[in-house]
Amino acid sequence: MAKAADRARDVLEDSEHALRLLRTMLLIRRFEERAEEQYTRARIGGYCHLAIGEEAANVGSIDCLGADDYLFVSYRDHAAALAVGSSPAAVMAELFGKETGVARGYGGSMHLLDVDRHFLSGWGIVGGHLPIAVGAALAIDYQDAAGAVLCQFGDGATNIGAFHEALNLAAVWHLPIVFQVINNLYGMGTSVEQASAEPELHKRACAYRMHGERVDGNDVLAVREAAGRLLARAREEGEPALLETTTYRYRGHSVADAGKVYRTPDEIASWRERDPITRFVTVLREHDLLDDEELDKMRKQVSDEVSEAIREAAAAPTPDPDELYENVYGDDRWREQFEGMNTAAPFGEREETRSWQR
Amino acid sequence: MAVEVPMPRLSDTMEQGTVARWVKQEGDRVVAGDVIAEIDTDKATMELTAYEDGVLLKILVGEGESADLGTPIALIGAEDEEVPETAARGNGPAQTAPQEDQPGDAGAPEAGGGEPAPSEPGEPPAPEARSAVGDGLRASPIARRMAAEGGLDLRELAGKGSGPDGRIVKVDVERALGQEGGPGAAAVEPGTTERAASPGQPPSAEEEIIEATPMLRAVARRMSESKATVPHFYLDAEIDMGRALELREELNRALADDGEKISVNDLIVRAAALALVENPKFHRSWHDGTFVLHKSAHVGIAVALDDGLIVPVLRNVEQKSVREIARESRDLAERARAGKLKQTEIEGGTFTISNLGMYGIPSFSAVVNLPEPGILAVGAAVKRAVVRDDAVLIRPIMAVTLSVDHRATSGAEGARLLGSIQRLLEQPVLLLA
Amino acid sequence: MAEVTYREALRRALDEELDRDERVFLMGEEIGRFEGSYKVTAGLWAKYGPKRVRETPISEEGFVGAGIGAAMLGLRPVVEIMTINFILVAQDMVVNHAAKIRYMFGGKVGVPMVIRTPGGAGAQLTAQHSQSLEVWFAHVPGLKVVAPSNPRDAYGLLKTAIRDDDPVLFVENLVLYNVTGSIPEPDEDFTVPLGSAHVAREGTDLTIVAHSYTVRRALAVADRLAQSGFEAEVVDLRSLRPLDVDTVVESVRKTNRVLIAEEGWATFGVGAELAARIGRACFDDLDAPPERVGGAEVPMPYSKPLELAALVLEDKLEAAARSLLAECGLAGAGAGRD
Repeated sequence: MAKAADRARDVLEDSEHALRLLRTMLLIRRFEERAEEQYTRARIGGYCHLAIGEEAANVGSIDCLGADDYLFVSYRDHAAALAVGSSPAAVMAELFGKETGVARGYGGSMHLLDVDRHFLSGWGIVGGHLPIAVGAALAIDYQDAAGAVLCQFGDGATNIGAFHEALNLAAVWHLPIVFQVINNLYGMGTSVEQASAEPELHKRACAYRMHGERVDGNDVLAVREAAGRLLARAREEGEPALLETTTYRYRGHSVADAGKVYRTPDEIASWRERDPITRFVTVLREHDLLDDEELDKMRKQVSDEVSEAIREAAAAPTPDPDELYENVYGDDRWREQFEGMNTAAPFGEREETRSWQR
Repeated sequence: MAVEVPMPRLSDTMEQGTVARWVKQEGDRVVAGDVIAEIDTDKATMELTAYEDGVLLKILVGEGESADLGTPIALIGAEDEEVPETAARGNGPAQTAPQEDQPGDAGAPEAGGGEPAPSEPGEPPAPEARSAVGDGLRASPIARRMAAEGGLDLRELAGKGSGPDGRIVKVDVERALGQEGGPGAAAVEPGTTERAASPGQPPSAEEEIIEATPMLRAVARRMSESKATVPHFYLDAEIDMGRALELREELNRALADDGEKISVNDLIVRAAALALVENPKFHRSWHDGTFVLHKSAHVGIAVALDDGLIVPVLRNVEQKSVREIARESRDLAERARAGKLKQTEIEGGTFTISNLGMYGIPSFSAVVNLPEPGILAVGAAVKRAVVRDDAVLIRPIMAVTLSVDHRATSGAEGARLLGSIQRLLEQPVLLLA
Repeated sequence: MAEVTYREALRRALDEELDRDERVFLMGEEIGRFEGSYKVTAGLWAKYGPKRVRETPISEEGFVGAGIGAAMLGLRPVVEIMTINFILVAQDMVVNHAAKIRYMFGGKVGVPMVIRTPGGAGAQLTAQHSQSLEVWFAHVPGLKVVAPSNPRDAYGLLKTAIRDDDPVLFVENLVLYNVTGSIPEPDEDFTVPLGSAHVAREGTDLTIVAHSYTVRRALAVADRLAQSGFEAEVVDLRSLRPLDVDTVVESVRKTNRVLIAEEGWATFGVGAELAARIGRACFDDLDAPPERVGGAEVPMPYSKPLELAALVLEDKLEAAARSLLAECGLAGAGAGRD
């Protein structure tokens, strides 16, 4: 235990890195608060899942990813997008459905990605991305490449079939992947105890003879230590692992859910006392890496950055409906292949009727 | 500057919300993050938090009241700010996403809740075209098309088709047009022909035998039938086309910018249509002891094809302007030459005009196009010397010959019709009437 | 030219593509040591090893998803699903993931993957093992679906599918595996394009459209019809999405009569799609409305006479064709048996 604590604190020797961790968490917090506000102003449509309260669980592990690694996360993905370094303006623009968005407006809140940074997206089907993340690990293994895959998902995903199949394949094939359960105690409105026969989720790994462990998801350094260690092991030994990081979301499952029907105010309050940002600030202060002035300055910077992102996103153009049919297929020959299918296609599908709106 | 608090969107399907309770009241201090109200949405009761610091200056939507998304429900501002009286509900939604619906436009009479619009007194949807598609004549599309191309009137096969419930199908039309070697003919030995090449003698070295197309065969058949069964009589007239030609030139100058042109034949077609409806005792067909009275003039225009003859029909011509007649004739003639006429376009005529003027023929007589009462043969307009009021004038004179079915009508009626046509063309301003 | 079985044609295509492109690899149940439950992958594990011929546990959702992930990183997996009936447990991966990825990510990443699987019935395999579900996937934008009916097309289309950058469902047929035909030599690099139907037999009196095994039945029926003096034109679709409507329309304009036959259920099937298109494009060319015939709309029963009654065998296809000809007044066609 002591060793783990030591390893965790290594980052404190590099003040720039430590402050960067904090800044990222503050950025996520502010971005999510403003995203909620923008949703109520109807600039963001559809579903919007916020990670307020889960910053450490996200940032701690993503901080350990290198250039050869890959990241797959669930639809609660704004935090991941910001943590890998995507521009807040591009992320907000995607939420706004604008052309400058990370998926050019075609994906929305649940489908953020950043291919250059190996962030292969938020995914909309619970647990659906787990087998896909395994496939990425398979490709790394196939190419004898140096990386590993970090696959984040919620507690709700641990009960779906894809979870089982993915973990089994990863273990049987010895693939370099770390499965991180961000356990915020509730899958939508259903508690882990209600839904899971084995509520200590990390223990499920033993069904696959896979290493499983649990850390305090609101302690960014603990998350970072565990994830860093397990990712290194995956890269070096080609062994998968299941890392459970317990945390809490202050808001509901999504902006449409107040999160109060199934949780008590006392519970919510008690978790606020263990707020990951507050805790890390305390640690940084204890190590003389941060004072009030710097903290205020950082908060202000981050707030301005998000405001600017909103401004930029609001001003950006929306995608052209003439491009509605772009990227359904990508093969160079797809137009040729589909030429014979234009004849007598339904109204609106056949080329001659595509401009029916005008 | 007071900031409007809009009715927030708190679920993806929410379009409207109700203020369940104001947690803060007018005059209360508010800090960003404070809960200021509880809102009932379509899914749940949600808290509305303030995003600004200030004082809650005015509540615009009270407890129990509803508002659409984006409608201002309160104002937050500085303590001592004046609140403008006009800051009332109905300013319109602020910052709504462009795609959002604006439900409930004031005053728009919604269909829901009101009475359905009274329906028209039951007029069956029966444009002439429908009934011309055979009065219940059932035929497959390809059968119709082949009949049209081959000049076969499908009414001859009505109810006698080989398809389900007597539907006329392709083989029926093939047989009617005298085609041989259709499907299932494998039983027939190749090489046998049922028709002799010519009566009696085999072709000599100076002759060549060509099969007639279905269309030409149809023409041959119809012409023979007409000549054999219709008691033809002929009436001639010589029409002074001077004023008609002037009118035409004037029309064409006026239409030059629109790129449209009126031909002499277009004027004749209109004249004939007006004359026909003026002369109902002419405008009728003979059917085995009964007269079929035609209420509207459907005028066929004979079009010569490379190898054949076809008569596309303009419908309800008395209701059409010369311009419309010009456009339609042009379109029909083009499609006739391209073989793209529909069955409905070669059926149902009540009169035909055949114009050989462009070939320089001064006069001729045509064969009645059964079952119509008459056909007008039009020659070229030629400058001739005529006597008028004891003076000799040079005028463009067009000879026309009206062939008439003497069963349908009499000489006097024919004369009256011809007279009407002449009058209309010689005083062409009447074509406007 | 070599005379081979459909199965062997597939095997050769896989072998040649594995050899040609290092990124190509196979995944599926029993495809390695066992050489494939239908022996399509015979010899490949021995030749290329377990990395390139990767056997999987029984986890269709898992390994189809893994194929998707590997494809997103640039590999070209060819995933075998033992029979099309088992694709249903991986439906979410195919429809919600493979088909959607390129589009919902704004074109930034694709899924160049092939899923090979046989459909069809006829060996008393009963309800859950006898389906033809290819139309479920032809319905989905983002997927491509092909169904070759003979060894040559199987060979050429599989090569094209593997080289295609989009997800392709490659539909084989249990009975077709043993059918023989000639295929070109490897040095010709022969491929068949997607979206191209083929007129397998020319005729003038009616058009029969089919895909996969039904094409063979249609050709047999065409021979029977010829004895009564009717020449049927048989159009082999080969590709369901993209669908080569133009070739079908050209044929219907010639013959004026069309029957679409499929082994799957005709309601909401390939025939339904084509009939709608033919209605639009050939309205004035039709001598009768398009006719469709498919498998009996029941879950496939076990007992042999019941199964035979449910299949679209030649008798049923012939009866449908003759019924259509009779509707068009063709004497000697013989009334349908209904």
